Amino acid sequence: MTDQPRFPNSAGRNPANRDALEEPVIGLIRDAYLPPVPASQSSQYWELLESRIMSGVRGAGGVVDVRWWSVLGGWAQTGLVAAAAIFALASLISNRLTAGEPQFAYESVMPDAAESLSVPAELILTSDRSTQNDAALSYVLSH
Amino acid sequence: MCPVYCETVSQRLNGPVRTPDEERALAGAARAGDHDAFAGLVRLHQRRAYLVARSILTVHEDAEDALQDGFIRAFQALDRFDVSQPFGAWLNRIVANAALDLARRRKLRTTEELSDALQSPFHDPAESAELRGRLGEALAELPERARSVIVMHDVEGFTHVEIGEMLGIPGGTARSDLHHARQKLRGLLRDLRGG
Repeated sequence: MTDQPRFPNSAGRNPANRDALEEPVIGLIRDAYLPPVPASQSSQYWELLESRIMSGVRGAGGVVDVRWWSVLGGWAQTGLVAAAAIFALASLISNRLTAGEPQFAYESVMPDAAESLSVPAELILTSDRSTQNDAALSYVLSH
Repeated sequence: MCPVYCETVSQRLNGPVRTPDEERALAGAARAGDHDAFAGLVRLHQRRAYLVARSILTVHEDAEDALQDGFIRAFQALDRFDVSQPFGAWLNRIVANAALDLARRRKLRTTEELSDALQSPFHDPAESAELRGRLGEALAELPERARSVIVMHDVEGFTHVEIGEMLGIPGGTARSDLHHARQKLRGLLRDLRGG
């Protein structure tokens, strides 16, 4: 359970492991890979390293819910956000353009729709006015 | 926020934690947000995890950075940790990933830099400085992965499967790498002795 180095004798652990390095060589490799601190200060070193790690852990905040996009690197995430923004902008522009299309199509078929509507209205008004005039004239002439 | 159970776990932190149950309890409490419990896990696993990072990066300062990064990643991913599994194996894979990420970002080290990084100023005075120097040079000459495999297996006693999981290679490849790394190291040491 503890993480104390095991320093095994590989050849002893596994008889089939015939090409294991000699124990003195393994000892030298082990020493080369120890933190470069005097043996007398080893405990203090690990305590300091633990403090450093824990300050990093506290500074980094709590448990993070890791989502699929977190496997992407920082630039990949930025690229993904930029692509999403461009897509949203393109969608907006596209919507605006397509929304104008029916009106444009209608106007291209009916070039002066307002004018064409106003003519019959005027005619109706004119027609009403002339009917009234005729009625008034008929009334005056009859008396 | 933290139940009484967490306080019990935190109180145990001053003593040595040795049983899987106690480690599981620490991991459970840490997952609930107990920093003291996580500190207990750091204390328990940092030495082996340091060796994992150092075996990949070789340079002590880089290994410290990767170790801290790995522990932070582990803390943030605790909700995905299966408490029925050994915490150390899970942690070492995360630390190895952090070290591999850092190795990709760092510039390539020269053989001289690597050799210097393996020359500890604090050593057993009975050992020959010349022998240590030669070994450092020979290790620095090894390909990166071969160096990692030989340190993880022969120094720390990880199995081929464990090494494969940490380095992202099949266990059989780790075994084959180890065999070739040993042969190459022997050859280099022989050459250096001869030279």
